[in-house]
Amino acid sequence: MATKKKTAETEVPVEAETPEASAPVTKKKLSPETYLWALGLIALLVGAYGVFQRFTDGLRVTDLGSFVPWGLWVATYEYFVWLEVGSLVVFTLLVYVFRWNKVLPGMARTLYLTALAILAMALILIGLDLGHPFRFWYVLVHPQWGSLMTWMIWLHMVYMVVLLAKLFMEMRPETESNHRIAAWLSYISLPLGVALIVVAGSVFGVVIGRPTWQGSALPLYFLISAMVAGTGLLTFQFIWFWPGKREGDYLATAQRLGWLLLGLLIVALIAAALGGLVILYPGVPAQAAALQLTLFGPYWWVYWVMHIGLGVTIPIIILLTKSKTARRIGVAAGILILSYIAVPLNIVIPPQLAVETVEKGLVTAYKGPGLIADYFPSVSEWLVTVFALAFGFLIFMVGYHILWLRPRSTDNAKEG
Amino acid sequence: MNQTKSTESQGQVSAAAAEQPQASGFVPLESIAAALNVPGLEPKDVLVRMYEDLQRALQKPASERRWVMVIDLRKCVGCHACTIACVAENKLPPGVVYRQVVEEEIGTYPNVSMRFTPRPCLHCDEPPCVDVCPVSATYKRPDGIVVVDYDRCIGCRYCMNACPYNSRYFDFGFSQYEDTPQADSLILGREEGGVLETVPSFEYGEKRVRQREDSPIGNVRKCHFCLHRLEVGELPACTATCIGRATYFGDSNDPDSLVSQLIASPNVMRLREELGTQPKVYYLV
Repeated sequence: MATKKKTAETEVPVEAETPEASAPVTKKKLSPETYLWALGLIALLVGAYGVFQRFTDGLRVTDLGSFVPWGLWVATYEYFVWLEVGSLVVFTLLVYVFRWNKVLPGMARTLYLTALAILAMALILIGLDLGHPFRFWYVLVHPQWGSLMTWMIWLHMVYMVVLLAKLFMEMRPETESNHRIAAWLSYISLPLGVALIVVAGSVFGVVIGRPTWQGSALPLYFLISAMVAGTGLLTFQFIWFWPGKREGDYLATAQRLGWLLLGLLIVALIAAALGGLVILYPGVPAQAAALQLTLFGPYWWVYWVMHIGLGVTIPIIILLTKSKTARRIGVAAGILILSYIAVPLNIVIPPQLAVETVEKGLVTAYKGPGLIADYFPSVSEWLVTVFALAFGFLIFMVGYHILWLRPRSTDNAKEG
Repeated sequence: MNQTKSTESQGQVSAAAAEQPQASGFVPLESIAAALNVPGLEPKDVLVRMYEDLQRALQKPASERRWVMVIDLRKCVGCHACTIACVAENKLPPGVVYRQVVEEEIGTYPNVSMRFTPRPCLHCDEPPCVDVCPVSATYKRPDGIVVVDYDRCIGCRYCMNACPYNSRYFDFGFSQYEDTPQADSLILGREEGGVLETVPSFEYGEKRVRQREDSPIGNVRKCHFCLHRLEVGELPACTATCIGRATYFGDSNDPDSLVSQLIASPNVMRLREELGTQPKVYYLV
């Protein structure tokens, strides 16, 4: 071993004297793809520590409690459902109902792959949120059909099967029969997706224990929000990944998607304002307290900065500018996707914090861990979320770079 | 009719008292009751009467019983004995409570009074928590008690958000003795004290040791009217321990039971009745 080392050391000066070595060394530049793989793997490893803590110490590692039993993971799950299902519902509507079939159908493979990656992230988070994660299958073997949570889980499972089937069909050669099957799967996925989003909203809407949730507003608001988030994702992906950026239809489609996103954003804003005013105007404390917490509570910035500022105002301003390039529309969609998580966070958490308004003295009646009406995600909760995000990201990387599930366009075909 | 009943029950009590006049300690109360002849004043300790009611109820099939609890807020002094008795009886870990007492200060100084409201699970006849459970882990028994099957519960906590009374608590796995001092010189430290936590709990008539990451850790927990005590003819721990005899328990399907008579009084109320959940915990105000 020592001899070998010595030999290597003595060889170095000899190499340095060679004419090739004396020439300026051109370092092999790492591709952006390599950085992305590294980033994903590092994030996965860092997040894995949170998952380890979750399994060794249970839900004690979270900041959840008996008055605030749902937190970051549930809110993120809902957001992932909006992104995953919303993007496909919008895509199916545009391609199969409104016949935007010049370039958009080529996005199918990448979009299905993204949806699958987001679905994996959603399932990781909601699975680890269970007190007994390994009992998740009880919902499949002992379902209680009176519960909307049962419906949500079953619909999500069926949706996953349809999504996998769609992805499988997209990976097969383009023949007439395959095309027909793919179209039928899309038709099936449309009502299924809408049902999943509405049921996910109804899970909250039927709950009498949290007066702000209760009612028919949330299922509809979930649907509108899923359309916004889904259109944002579809727009971002199309602008970012579409290979034929010089094609005339590219800019036209990007601009149409931008208009659609703008319209939906305004509809969602009006819906949120109406919903909020209806609750705030009568000012019934049991309902209004949660909204007042959202607007003026300790986490006011989640609403004003993340939702209204980054999630709504900036994208609207960008989308309204006259010189609307595809890149600008993509930036608006990207900002929206990153910041719109504020919406489910504000739907899920503040109504649980308002427990003291519903029954004064209940929170202070008995002391113990988890018996407070306050919540901010713990480090472990953030780490697990990072793990889920990294896991989904790596699934996407595998699909995009290894399985070559890329958009199909004429340019792409030439590259292939 | 009432007079006949009253005479009969007085006769029974007198006979019982005659058998054990010194040990029972109830004779003076009876004498006072008889002497005063105040309507509504029980001629014997309410605990004795509730035990008799309980025995009668247990003779019936479970589906014919309807267990209810009545809490007299005028008598509650806020001693929290019921809370402690419940914690001890069910070996509740930190962060889990089945019956806390909500304290409320009413008025402004110097015209201030306190109101104490014990808050167990209300065992609704129309429980919103049951319908939302995705795996039927929580359900209403034929006798009306709402229970949780620890081995079925997946810990989704949907029922906790669905309960309009916040009567459900999640067992996060905290321990009483975790992070407490441990040294040779200590008579009782973490290790010795921790042994107490390995003693099984008899909740639901089971003999369950609370072990790391195994049920009931990771489950939603709640008051079950001390089902394991009821089944052997004992009153719930909170009822048996109440120093002011402010908590009553029994079968409301039995017209002769104490609770039936109490819930027929005009000064009875239930929490958030407007929801239509039909709680089986009544408050006398």
